[in-house]
Amino acid sequence: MNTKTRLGIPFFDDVFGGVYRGWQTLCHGRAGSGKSIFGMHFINQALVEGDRALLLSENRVADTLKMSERFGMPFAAAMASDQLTLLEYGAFITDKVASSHIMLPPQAFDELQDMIELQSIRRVVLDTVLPWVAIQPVSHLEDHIYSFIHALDRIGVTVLMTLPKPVSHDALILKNHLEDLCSVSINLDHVNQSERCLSVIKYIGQANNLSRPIACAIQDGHGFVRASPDTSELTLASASPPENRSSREVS
Amino acid sequence: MGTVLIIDDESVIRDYLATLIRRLGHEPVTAATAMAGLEKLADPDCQLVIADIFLPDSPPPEIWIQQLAQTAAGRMVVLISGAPSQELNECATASGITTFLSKPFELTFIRRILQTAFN
Repeated sequence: MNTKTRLGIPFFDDVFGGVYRGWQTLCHGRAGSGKSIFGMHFINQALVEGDRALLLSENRVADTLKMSERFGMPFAAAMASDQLTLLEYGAFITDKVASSHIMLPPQAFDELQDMIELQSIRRVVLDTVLPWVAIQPVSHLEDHIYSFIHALDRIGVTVLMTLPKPVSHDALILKNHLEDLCSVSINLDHVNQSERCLSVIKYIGQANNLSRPIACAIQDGHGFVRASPDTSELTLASASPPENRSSREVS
Repeated sequence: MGTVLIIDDESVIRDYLATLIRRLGHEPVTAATAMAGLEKLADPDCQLVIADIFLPDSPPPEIWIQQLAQTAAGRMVVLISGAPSQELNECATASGITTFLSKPFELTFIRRILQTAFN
């Protein structure tokens, strides 16, 4: 079993000791549940540890920098010192990665691999993972996702991937294939503007602590913080359960 | 510089790998069928073989893997496939083949394998 590295969210790390180094963590949830901010914590932890990191996002770099400032994460300084690479999907992936020539690796993956190896990047956030894995026909999904995850394994980088909540049957199949191959799967849900609910759906090697969702909130200057005990009851009672929670096998 | 045999029925895969191999300074040789592949593998100049597990004329994969391993006789064999089953992995390992590359993303790691094999 791989060693662990802190995810960057103290209340999660205190319970689970972080996530597995060199493996993939999946974070999924509805729009507005905080997946991008969650990914920013993961990047910020790399900066704290002195590691190089890469964030590939659908958001514009300027917007990511503004958000990082809001949550007290020094992304601009890290970019200036080459510790952090911020990329926009729109600029990075110019070929249509997932829909054509799925027999071949997309050129963008070659470039991503080169960037990670040449710059000694240790952590990567793919916010979202969809452009790499959303292919048709769905019958090819399993092989495609298997190949993607194993290629990331070979690079040896620790990856956090975000995924929107599936709203179609095909999207649910995609999420389930990803979840099967990721070592950790986390669902985020939002109760209201500031309150969130974090549920660990899968954590390889750790079956305990998975049953209770963690009530949390997003605060300026901090990002994700654990909700105060007074509000936890209310939060957990009103949060909707993550999809398929009971049917997922936890090994 | 080494000679690398590529056995795959998909021309797009053969062309992609041949281009990569040539760019890295090695000599690619290609075969589109299992039978043609085994014939070319008889040439001792082929130092490494990259072979698809499922070819239209290949025997069941367990047999095909054994044939490849026996004909390669000590030379490095890299298998390419979709997601290999546990049984195929075990069969390959039993035949002394330890490198599987899944299509499409892991094909890029041919670069690393060639560097290791020919350095």
